[in-house]
Amino acid sequence: MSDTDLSRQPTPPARASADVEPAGFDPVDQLWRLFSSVKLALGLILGIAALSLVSVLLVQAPGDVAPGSAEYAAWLQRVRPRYGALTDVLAALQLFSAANSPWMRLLLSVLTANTVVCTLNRWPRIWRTVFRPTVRASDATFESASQRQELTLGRPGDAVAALRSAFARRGFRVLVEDGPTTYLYADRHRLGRLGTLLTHLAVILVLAGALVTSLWGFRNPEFAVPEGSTRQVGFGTGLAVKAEAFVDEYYPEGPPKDYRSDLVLYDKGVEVKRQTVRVNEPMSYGGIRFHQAFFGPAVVLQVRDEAGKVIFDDGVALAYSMGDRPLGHFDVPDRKLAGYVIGPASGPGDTSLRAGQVRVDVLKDGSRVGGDVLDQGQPKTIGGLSYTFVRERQFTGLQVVKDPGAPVIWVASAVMVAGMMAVFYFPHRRYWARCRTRPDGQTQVSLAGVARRHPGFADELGKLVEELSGRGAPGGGRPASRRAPGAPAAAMASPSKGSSSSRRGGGHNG
Amino acid sequence: MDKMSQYSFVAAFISVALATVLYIVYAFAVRRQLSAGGSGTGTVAVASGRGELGSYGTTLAALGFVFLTLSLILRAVVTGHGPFANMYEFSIAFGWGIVGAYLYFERRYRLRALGAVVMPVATLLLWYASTVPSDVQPLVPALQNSLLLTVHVAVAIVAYGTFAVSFGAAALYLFQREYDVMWLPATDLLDEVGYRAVVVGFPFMALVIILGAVWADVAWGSYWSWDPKETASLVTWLIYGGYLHARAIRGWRGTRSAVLLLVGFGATLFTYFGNLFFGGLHSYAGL
Repeated sequence: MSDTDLSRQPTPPARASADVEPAGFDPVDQLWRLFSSVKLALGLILGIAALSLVSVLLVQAPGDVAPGSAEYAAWLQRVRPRYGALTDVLAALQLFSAANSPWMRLLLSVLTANTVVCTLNRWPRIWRTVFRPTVRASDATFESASQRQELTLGRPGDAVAALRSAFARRGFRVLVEDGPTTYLYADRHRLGRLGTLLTHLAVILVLAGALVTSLWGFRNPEFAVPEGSTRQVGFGTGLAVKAEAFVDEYYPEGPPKDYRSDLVLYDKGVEVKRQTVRVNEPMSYGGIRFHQAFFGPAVVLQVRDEAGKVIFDDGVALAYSMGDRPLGHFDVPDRKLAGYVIGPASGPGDTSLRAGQVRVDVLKDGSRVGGDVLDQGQPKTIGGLSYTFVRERQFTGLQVVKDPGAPVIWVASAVMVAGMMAVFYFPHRRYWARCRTRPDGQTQVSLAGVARRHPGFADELGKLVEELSGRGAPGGGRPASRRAPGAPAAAMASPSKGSSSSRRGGGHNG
Repeated sequence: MDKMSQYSFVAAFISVALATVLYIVYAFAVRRQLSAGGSGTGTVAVASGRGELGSYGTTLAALGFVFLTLSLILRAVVTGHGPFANMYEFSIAFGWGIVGAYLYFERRYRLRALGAVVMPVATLLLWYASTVPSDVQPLVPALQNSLLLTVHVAVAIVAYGTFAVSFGAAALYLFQREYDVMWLPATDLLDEVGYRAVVVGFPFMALVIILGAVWADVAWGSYWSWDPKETASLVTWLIYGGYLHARAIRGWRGTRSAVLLLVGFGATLFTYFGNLFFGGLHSYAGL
C-alpha cells in the first residue's frame, strides 16, 4: 500500500500494470499486460453476454447434433425457410450452436487466463492491505483523503488512548506506531477485501467444473426402459435398471400431476437399490444418477423359433417416431436379427394400423427379411420365426448422468456468493490518525478515512469525532472540531457517499 | 380466500397506480413560480406543497406494498406453495419486489423523485398481472419442489426489484444530466443510488442463477443447458457484472454507467418475459 494510493480515494488497491512504466519491448511482459487488463475483461464479459444473447435470439441446433454431420445438414434445411440466405452465413459462423461454438470457447478460455492473471497481479497488494497495512500514512493523505477531520484532544497519551478505545468499541482493529508523532491505523472487515479474490477464484472454479463435467462425465438422455424389462446402463458401469412400473397421473383439469417410475438397480447382477423416481426425485448410486425424463408406449414381443422355443421375450420401447407413428427397435442376438416395431399413430387418422395392432419389420445383416402387421395375441410368421404381440405397456425414459463436475460447481457457487457478500456487504473500512503535539501541550489529531462501497462512511467519521470531542479535552472548554482546511461542507461529507447533504433545493425533503 | 387475495391485489393495484401519479406530479409538474425562478416565500410554499404530494405518494406506495404482501400471503395459503407458479403470481411478486426495493431506497436516501420512474414500472407489471389468467393452476411435476420454487423465485424478486430501482436512478440521472431540474436530486446522488441498488441486487442475481442450476440438476440432471431463460439470466448478470467492473476499476461514472444500467434492466425484463417469446425448459409454466 503506497502512500499516494491513500489519497486517490476510489482507486482500487492494485491497478494492474497500467501504472507500470513501459520499458522496452518484451513479449512476455506485453502478454502479461494484455491479460491483466480489466478493459480486456470487460470486453470479454460483454462478448460472452452478446454471444449468449445470440443463442437466445437464434434457433439453436440440438446439443447432440454436431456441425458438419448429416443430421446437422438436415437440421439446417429445416431452418432455412426462416433465415433464408443468411442461413449459410450463420452456419459458417457456427452461430446455430453459439454456446458450444469455438467463439464461446475462445472467449471463456481468454477470460479464464485474464481472471487468473488479474488475481495474481492483485494478490500481493491485497495481502499487504489486509495483513501488513501501513500504519504511518503520509501527510498528503491527511490533506486529501475523501473523508478527513481535524480535532484537538488533550495530552498525547490520552489522545491515543481515546482514539484507540473509540475505534475498538466499534469493532475496529487498531495498530499504533509511536514516535514524536504518533500514528494510528484502524480498520474493520479487512477480510472483506479477500471477497474479490474469492469471487474471481469462484469464476475460475465454475469454468473448471464445466470442464470436469465435459471430460469425465457422461450422459445418456435417451435411456428408455419398458415396464417389466431390464436394461444395461453401459459406459462400463456394470449397472442395469429394471423398470417395475411407470405411472403418469393427471389433474382433473388436464395438466400432468406426476410421473413416477418404480426402479430396481443392479450392480453386476446384484440388486443394490430400489426406488420410486420422480421428476424432482432422482435415484443416485455411486455418482450416477437416474432422472425421470420422458415416457411413452412399449410393446411386449415374443419370438419363437421353428421348434416353438422362446428366443426373445421382452418389452420394446417405442421411443422414436416415424412420421406420426411411434417406433421401437429390438435385437434377437441368437439369430443376428434386428427388428423394428411400429405402433399406430394416436388419433383416428391411421387407417392401415389400428389400435391393438403393431407392424414388425425384421432385418438380417442390413437386408430386409420380412414384415407383417400383428394383432395382439395372434402369432404370425416372419422369416420362419413366430412373432407375437403379447400386450401393450409403457416405457419410462430416464436421463442417466454421471457428472463429477457438479460438486465443483456447487463449491464454486458457495465461494462466489460468500465472496460477493464479503465485498458488498462487509466493505473494508480504514482510518488513519496522526497525533501531533502542539506547542501548548494539546494534541492535534488528523483523521483520514477510506472505504469504497460503504454508504454511511461520512456519518461514521462525523459521529466518531463528535464522540471524541464529547469526551472533552482537559483545559479546553470547547473541543476543537473543525473542517479540513479549505474543504467546503459538501466536500467534507463525500458527495458520492450518499450523504443527504449533497442534495440540492429545498423541495424534496424526506 | 382466493377472492380476498384478488381483492387485495386490486386494492394494491389502485394504490400503486395512484402513488405513481402523485410521484410523477411531485417530480415533474412544472410550477410557474418555480420555473420563473422565484425565490423567497413563493418557492417555499410551493416546495412544501410538493413535499406533501410526495409524502402522500409514499403513503400510498406503502399501502400498496401492504396490500401486495397480503395478496401474496393469501394466494400462498390458497395454493399451498410459494405464490410464484404462474405469470399472474410471479408478476404480483415482481411488483411487490419493485415497490419494496423502491421504498427501501427512498427511505435510505430520501429520494422521492425516484418514485416517478420506478413506480410506473411496478404499475405496468401489476397491470400486466391483471391481464393474465389468475386461476389457481396445479403444479406440474417439474415445479413440485416447494423449497426450491419458493427460494429460487423469492431471490429473483429481490434481484429484479433492486434492478428496477437502479434503472429508475439511471433514467433520472440521464434526465437530470440533460435538464438539471433544480428540485430533483443531484446527478452524483443518482449515480450512487444506481450503484448501491446493483450492489444489493447483483449477489442475489447470482443466487438466482445458482439456485436455478441446483434445481435443474435435481429435476433434469443437468446444471446448465443453455435454456433461453437460463441464458438470459446469465446475460443480465454479466451486464451488471460488467457495470460493476467498469465502475470499480475503470472508474466509469455518469452517462456511460447509466446507459449500462438501462441496458441491464432491459435484459432483466427480457429474462422475465423471455419465455413468452421463446420455448425452453421454463415454458411449461408460462414463466
